[in-house]
Amino acid sequence: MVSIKIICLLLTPIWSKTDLPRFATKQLVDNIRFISSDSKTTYYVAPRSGLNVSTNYTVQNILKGTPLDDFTIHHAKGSKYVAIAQQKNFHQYFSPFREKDIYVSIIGSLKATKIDTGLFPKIHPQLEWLSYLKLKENKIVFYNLKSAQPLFNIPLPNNSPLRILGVQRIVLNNRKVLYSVRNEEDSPLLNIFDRGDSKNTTLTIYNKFQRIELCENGTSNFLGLFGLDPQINKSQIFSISFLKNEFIEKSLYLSEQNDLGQMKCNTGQNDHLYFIKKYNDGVDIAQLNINNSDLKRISHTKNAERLINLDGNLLTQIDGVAYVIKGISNVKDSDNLSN
Amino acid sequence: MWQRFLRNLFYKTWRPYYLLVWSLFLSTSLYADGIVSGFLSQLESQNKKYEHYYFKVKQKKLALKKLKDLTQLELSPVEYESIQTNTPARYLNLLSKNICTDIDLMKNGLLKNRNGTLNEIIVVGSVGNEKIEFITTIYNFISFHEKRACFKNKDMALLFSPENLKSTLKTLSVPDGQKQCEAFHHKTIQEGYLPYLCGIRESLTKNTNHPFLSKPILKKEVSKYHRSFLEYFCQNPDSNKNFCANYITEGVWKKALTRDESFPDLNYRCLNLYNKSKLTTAELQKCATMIQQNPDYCVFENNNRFPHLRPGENCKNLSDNLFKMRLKRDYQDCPNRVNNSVFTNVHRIVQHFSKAKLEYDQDQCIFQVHHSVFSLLKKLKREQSWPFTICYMSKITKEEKCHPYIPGKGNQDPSSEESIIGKSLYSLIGAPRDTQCLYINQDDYRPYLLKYKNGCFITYDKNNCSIENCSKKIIFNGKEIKGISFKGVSQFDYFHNSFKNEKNSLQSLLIESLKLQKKEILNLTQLKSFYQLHKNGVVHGIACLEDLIPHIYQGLNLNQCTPTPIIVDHVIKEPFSLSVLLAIDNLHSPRTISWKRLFNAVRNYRNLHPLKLWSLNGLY
Repeated sequence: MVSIKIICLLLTPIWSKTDLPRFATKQLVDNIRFISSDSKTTYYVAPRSGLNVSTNYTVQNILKGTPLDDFTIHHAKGSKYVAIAQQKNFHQYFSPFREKDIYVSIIGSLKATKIDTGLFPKIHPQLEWLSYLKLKENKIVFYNLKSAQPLFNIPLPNNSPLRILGVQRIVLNNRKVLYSVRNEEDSPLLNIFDRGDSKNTTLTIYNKFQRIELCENGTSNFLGLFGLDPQINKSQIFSISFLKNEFIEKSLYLSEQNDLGQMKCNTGQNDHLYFIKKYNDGVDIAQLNINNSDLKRISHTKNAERLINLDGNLLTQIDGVAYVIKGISNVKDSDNLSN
Repeated sequence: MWQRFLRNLFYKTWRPYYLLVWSLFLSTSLYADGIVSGFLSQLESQNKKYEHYYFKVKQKKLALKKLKDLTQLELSPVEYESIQTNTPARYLNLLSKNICTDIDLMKNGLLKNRNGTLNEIIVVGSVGNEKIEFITTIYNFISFHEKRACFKNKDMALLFSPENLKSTLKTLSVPDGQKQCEAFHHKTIQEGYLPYLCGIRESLTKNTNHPFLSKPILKKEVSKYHRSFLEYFCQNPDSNKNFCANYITEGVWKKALTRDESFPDLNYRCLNLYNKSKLTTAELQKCATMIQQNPDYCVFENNNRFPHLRPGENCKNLSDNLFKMRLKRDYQDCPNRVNNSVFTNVHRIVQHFSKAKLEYDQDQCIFQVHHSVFSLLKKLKREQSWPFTICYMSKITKEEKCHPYIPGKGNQDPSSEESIIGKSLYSLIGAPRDTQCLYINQDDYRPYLLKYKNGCFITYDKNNCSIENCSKKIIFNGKEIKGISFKGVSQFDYFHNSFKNEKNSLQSLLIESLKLQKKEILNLTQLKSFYQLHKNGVVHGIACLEDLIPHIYQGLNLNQCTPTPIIVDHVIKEPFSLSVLLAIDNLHSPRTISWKRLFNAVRNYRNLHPLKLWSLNGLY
């Protein structure tokens, strides 16, 4: 009996990873970049040809590339578009500040249009806009996916690319954008940009040892403040809104720990928000009910440091393996990839 | 007793402000009353008494001619009192513990009387029962005692002779640990080192002549470490706790000042803070104190001249990481000014195994980083694999001619842009064979000034110039020269991406050129064992930034990875914390990253690699 207990204890770390189902696909998961929630459209990297898309029982190359290139697909639940970022010579040129080729495409379409080069593309599903960062020009660019037209730019207040890494933004309406950036003193600012008069207004300046996250799902918006170890030990999540131009925060969550955050609020179930929380035994995914602030741990890996929203399915990647936290785990039967 | 206490208090704290106190007290009624005024007048009267007595004895003209006839020779009570009054309090505890210690204190110029450093002193000699008071030189006094009782003093003096000074100081290294440090302090005093050590300290801090060591010898043989050591030791001869506090409780920053070898992590940090290229010891000390007292400073530490990724670790964590750091880092690089971070990582590895010391120069930083990689290729005669070339159309062959060049300002180096452009001008327009161009910011180029009328200049826009994309103008003798182009993208296989190109990966170049060996590191046990077996080895690799620093750089998409070259320096704390230097980090700011995170980051990059290569290796 004792020996069984010891064996169980020894196996605990392995079990802790395997209590979540692996993300099972026909294709090698390493090559997959995006699968739609209905599993009917898959984007995957084919080392010899580039980026392929599989849909309607056909597999086609959408962007050419070499084995040294890589692609990432950026999508938001509810949008019919994807943004594709191609990084040429991905395995030979290492820099987080190197701009990528940005293409846009309708999900499943075989046509992708290059619009610019930039970093961190993000789709805002409410208005079908795309935004991305331009490091050299020091600005956030907004692009209308429906009309395929550039919309406007938000100039950033300083020119250090190092400060731009943490820029977050959400679209409040077709006139206003809420975004965060660090100022000259490295303090994070929560700014609002009004397209009408191109005016920037700083709503709040936070402590420089805090990090801002913004999350949008078309109906609600959220603000996360996470401390940087060990200067501040605090994490907060707020539901945010604007009433008669007044910024209103409603606290949903407060912790004395520095959570990793990576908030996901647009999963199709808009009464819940997910984030990576620090627990006593490690980091795992927490589910926060935005109506009653109930908090629930939904993974027990102790080591989940990535939270990926794959068109509503929540995944994490640990030691090179993708696990499903919420959603469909087996898309082998429903995806249409050729073997 | 109270008199001695007051005297100590006065000498420790007030003597430097003597005149100020004097004038202040003159202007207040306080001077007339109280203990302090009593003490000052006592001091004054003692000094007057000494002067009076000194001349009185001197007038007797009882010069000592037969020193050897004396049976005893001691300081006269007036001389002793004057020494007690004028010698710094910290050395008084040793005075008259035994005559041999007094001799050493005298010999090293630590005892003072009314006239300052002892030269002529009032002594009392005994011949039989007769006592004679007379004036003699300090030399005679020392010589008398060294011949009779203080034989061992000469041995100690020998240890501090110009020939032996360096090796003697080398033996005086403060051990780690509170108890060990206190024991060391006690032993150093007991063994009689204090007078010699503090004699050197007095001479160095006050820039005065040492009784028997010349200034050049002191300058040459007393290291920065021992200067700090002497300062801490001689300020605290009666408190081993205060002395050891400088070594034990202050963390790495203050400790840096007390180490023999230079501590680049402090030096370069402070150079940036003061925006200077050289610092005085006082500035360095001030800077160390500031860092020590403001651990948050390091988190968003901004280095405009040598930019790097922020936020980083706080100074407290950094102190722990740097304490055991293995990587050689007596230079400064500029990660954010080098587009492809593989160059920075390889540069760091090359420097680690190199004996040469790089110059501290922000203008040459880009050149230095690329030069390290170029030198690997050059050594193996594979310059044709170098991606950067300067090209022009040959007038003779009508074909494009290209020469490899190293980007950045490289001054006189034959492979620098300045030299290669000069060489191209020779072929292109018949400029002198030895033409060297000057790399200059376009705003600083003033064509109307005489110095810019002749010669070759490469002008560029400082604010809009990266290694691959920089519009430059080549101006020779005042005229812009067309037809020279810069080619190449800074891409390189770090580890091989195809079997065909295995030989040309940067890791292979490092191994071949520096004659290193490689060991794959698959788990923590192998990592620890590598560090134990190869004290000078370096563990390097490629890992996903999203997994290394998830609180700063987030992985939002499936299989998203931003590959980053890293150096895994050492295990900080058992069992799992490592000190890891990202290629985009400040060379002097490694991060604390758990083995779990590192493994995850390497593993996730492996999944994307064309050959599914495990990218964490030790080089030794």
